[in-house]
Amino acid sequence: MSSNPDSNMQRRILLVDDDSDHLALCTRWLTLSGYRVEGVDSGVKALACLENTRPDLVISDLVMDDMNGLRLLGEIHRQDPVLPTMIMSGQAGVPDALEAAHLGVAAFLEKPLRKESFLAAVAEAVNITPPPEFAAGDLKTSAGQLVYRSAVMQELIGRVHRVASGSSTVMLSGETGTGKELIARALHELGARRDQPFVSINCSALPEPLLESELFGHEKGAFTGASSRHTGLFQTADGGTLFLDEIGDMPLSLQAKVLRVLQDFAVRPVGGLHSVKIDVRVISATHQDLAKMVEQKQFRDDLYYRLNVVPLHVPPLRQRAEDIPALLEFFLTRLAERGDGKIKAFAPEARAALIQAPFPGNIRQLQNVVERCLVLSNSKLIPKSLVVEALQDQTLGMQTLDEAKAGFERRYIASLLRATNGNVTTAAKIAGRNRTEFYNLLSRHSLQPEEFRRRND
Amino acid sequence: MRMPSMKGWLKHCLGERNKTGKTPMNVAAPVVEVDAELADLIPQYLSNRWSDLAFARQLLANGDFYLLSRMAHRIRGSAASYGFARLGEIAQMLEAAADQQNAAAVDAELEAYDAFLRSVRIDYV
Repeated sequence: MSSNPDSNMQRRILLVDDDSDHLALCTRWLTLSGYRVEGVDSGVKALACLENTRPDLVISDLVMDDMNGLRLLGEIHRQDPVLPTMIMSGQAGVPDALEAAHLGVAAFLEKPLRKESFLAAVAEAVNITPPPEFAAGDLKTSAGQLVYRSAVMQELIGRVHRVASGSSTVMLSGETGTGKELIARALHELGARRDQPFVSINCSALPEPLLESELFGHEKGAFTGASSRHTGLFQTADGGTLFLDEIGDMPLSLQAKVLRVLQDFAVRPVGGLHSVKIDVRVISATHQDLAKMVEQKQFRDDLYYRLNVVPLHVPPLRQRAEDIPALLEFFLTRLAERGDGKIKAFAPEARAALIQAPFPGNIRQLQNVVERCLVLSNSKLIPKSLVVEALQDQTLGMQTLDEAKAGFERRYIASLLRATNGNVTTAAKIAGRNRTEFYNLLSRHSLQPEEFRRRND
Repeated sequence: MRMPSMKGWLKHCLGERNKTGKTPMNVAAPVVEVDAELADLIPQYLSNRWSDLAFARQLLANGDFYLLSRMAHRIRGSAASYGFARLGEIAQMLEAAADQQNAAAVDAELEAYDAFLRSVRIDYV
């Protein structure tokens, strides 16, 4: 624990205060608790200091002559959005507190400080940062495992650990198949909300009216076919995390409504008269260049600003090729456990071919290639020829048109069932199909209407 | 820059006490308990407070209530943390008096400040 001076020895704190007596006092308290403290008396000096070293925490006074503490922390946040920060003030107002919260400030301490509470807040804030010896490894989530050895992924996972403890809104960017949803899961499961719901929705999978109903819910009779009340995902995720995947595909009209929810922390179901207060951490993800979409007026700049508080980029597999051997071992073992239990291995030249392959579909494509090689291989050692064949087949299309259509159809029907509370007659009506045809669709996709009736009990 | 919320914040800090802005002068010689681990910082701390007092008197003579308020605010921010709770209270009154541009009240608080610095005894615990 950080209350133990010995365990704090590697933690570095940058302390900024233009009151020399207060600076000396806090420095003494922190030093005696085992922290390594760099004390400076201005925001300009603090920024200069950050050019050379990266502390585990920055603590700044709010009102300073040369640079206001919030301006300083804003600048730090732009450079390193996950570096924990704290503000000390004897005269903070609500606007300052709100801006501080938006910047993800870990604590807002009122002067005069009390030693015990100050050190407790510091210990909590530095614990957001993983210890410096944090290294490569595997991070397990309920949805799967993140396997990595590369420095770029170590850096990302380090940031995930730091960000997870707070409630800052996170934006995940990265190509399709890089594991953005796993990172979102990790953020949820490593944080304080881990025992609360994690709710995920793909914003590109649903037409606008359904997406609206899914997110915000609706009252009975709100629109044709709304035969019962439906709780939206914002409310379902109350206390936990809502993961908005493919946020770049969200229609502009819905973007305005999501923005309002993020501003007011309240949601009003479609057709409802009253707003309901919610406490939800929002993590969004996209494979698109949202900043460019903002420039082209395809995405609202105010929503982008709200969502992009902590940006995390998930690198493509080609930038972390050194992870491929560990990923191969992981997939081979896992697939063997699911299959006949016999573990196969790649021949050395087959491994080399896999490590050098471009993998435009990233981890998902690598997994598909491994699975295919396993199924088709007759021997314990998978030959290069099989790998080359699998890679060629995988390169162009990760999904056939039929596969893509089936995926859309399944998600569409599931969303209809959620929106209608599992009422097949109404769902069939909305879909423009008769009941028999609709039951055939349900059967094709193994969807059980009764499973959708439990959610709103 | 002064914060827009300063007045509200001061109201919150001051509550309903001391509407006259005066500090009672019948202060007994105060004994302050200071954490022994801060002992070597105290001479410099008290020296700075004496410097502040001299400068504050100059500011009062010049009618610079803004800088007086800033100085008092700074003292208030650390006095109690060092263990000088009473000095923090005086600084709070001084800040309020300077914000009201009440020269007489500022003068009275500076006298209380002076008396405190002259009489304070420190027990390191």
